[in-house]
Order: sequence, then structure tokens, then C-alpha cells
Amino acid sequence: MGEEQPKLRITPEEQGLIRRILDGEESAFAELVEQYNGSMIRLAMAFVPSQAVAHEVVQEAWMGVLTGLDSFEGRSTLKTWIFRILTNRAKTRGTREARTVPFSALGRGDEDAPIEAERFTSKGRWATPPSPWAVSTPEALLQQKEAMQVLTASIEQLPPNQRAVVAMRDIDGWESADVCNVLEISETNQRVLLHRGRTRLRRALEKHLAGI
Amino acid sequence: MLSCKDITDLLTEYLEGEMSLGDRMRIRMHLAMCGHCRTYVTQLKLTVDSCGRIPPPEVTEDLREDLLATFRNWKAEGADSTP
Repeated sequence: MGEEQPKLRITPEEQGLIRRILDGEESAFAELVEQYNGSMIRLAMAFVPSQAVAHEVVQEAWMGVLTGLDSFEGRSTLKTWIFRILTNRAKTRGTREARTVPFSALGRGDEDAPIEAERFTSKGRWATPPSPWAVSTPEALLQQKEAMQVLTASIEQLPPNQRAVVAMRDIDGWESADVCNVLEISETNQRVLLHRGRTRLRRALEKHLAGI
Repeated sequence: MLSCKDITDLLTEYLEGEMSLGDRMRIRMHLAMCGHCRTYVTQLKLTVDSCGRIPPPEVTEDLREDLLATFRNWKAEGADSTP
């Protein structure tokens, strides 16, 4: 027998969609755009300073997707491939805009001081315990417009690396392996970034909901 | 014995299911005895779940049109280069 074929990670539906796009079918491209554009803008926003620039980056990324589509071999999922193109463009642009340092240069992503350390005694017990919140479900929180505004504003204020991971994992529901693949970080780094981001967001909500 | 600070530090690892059974049990034992940490866990989970309810950013009609124009240009260039 010949060499082992690499495992393809592309679905028959995606193969069909790619074929239609390569055949020049505009509605097929529009379908793909519809599926990923919102998440792409959100991820780009982690690296660049404004929505207008994020739109430009997304547009560049789609151009890259179209240009590279006929050589896409399906060794990663279509989504992962598209978002890697996007992330590369966004990081390059972000660096140029002098807002971020290159993502990979952040290493383990633990540039921040430990979060909330002051809330514990020297023995690690709560000195300032978390105050109970009046809401207990996402549905109830969703009804509180101000709380949701606090949450979205706090996400925007996260350091770029934390923001990217939170956006992919907690907002868009990505698997951690795919996030690592797209952002080119290790599983451990990803978890540290996610943890730091989540901790900051909980704290921001606590300030708003419990007033401390 | 894990401290409350340990619990908050390990929480994402715990929620990700990346821990050994022994470590999971140690966290569960702490949570069974510590109301403050249970509150903290509930709030962190609520924060994560609420992130999942944030709607995607609006895709403006201008951007959609720009992207379709990008597609048409790409298609035209492909047609030009076809012998």
C-alpha cells in the first residue's frame, strides 16, 4: 500500500461550499461570510484599535481566504484555517497600529499581577468574600441591560490576548484545541489567559451587581 | 488542604475537566465546606454563561457590500488569468 493519507478535517458540506465558491458562485461565498463574519470582527477587535480597522482586517482576511482556497487541503477545519488567516492579518495590523505587541511575544500571557490577591488572608482564606448577586441565571443577567453593558465593556478592556481567548471560548463556544491552533499558543497558555480573563470579568460584574 | 485562594486559582482548570480525580475530589471537598467559594464558583460560571449570550457584532451593509465586491474582483481576476 502507498503512504498513509493525511486525515482530512473538512466535512462534505464544506467541500461542496468550497467547490461552489471556486466555481464563482457568489451566494456560496455570502453563505460562508454570513457564518463567520461576526466572530471574525469580534476576534479582530482584540488586536486592532477600532471597529473600522477590524472591518478592514476582516476584508483583507477574506481576500486571503479566496486567494488560498484552491490550495486549502483540509488538514485543518475550514473554520480554523479561515481564522488563522484572520489572526495573522489582525496581529500584523495591530502591531503596525502600535496598539499591541505581537501575540507570540507575550509568551505565557501572564503579564499581569496576580488578580484579587488582596482579597485573601496570608493563609489564603477569604478576607473579602464574594458578595451574593441578585441574579442567578444568564437569562436574568441578560435582562439587566447595564450589567450586560458592563460585561461587554469589560471584555473590551481585557488585554488583547485574554480578550481573544475569552471571545473564542466563552462567547463563540470554540473548543480549546482549536483556539490553541488558531492563536498558536499552548494548551496551558490558553487556560491561563482564559482564567485571567474570566476572573477580571467576574470581578467587573461583582463591582456592578454587588457594589464592591 | 486547599485554601480559598487555591480554589479561585484552580477554577478554570477544574471547570475544563483537566484535573486528576484526586485534585477534583479535593476541590469538591473544599466547596462542600465553604459557602464563599461556592458563591465564587457560581458567579464565575454565571459570568462565563453570560458571555455566551452576547450577540455577534453587527455586520454592516457597507462591509457586506465591500466583501461581495472583493469576491467579484477575485472572480474577475481568476477569469482574466484563465487561458
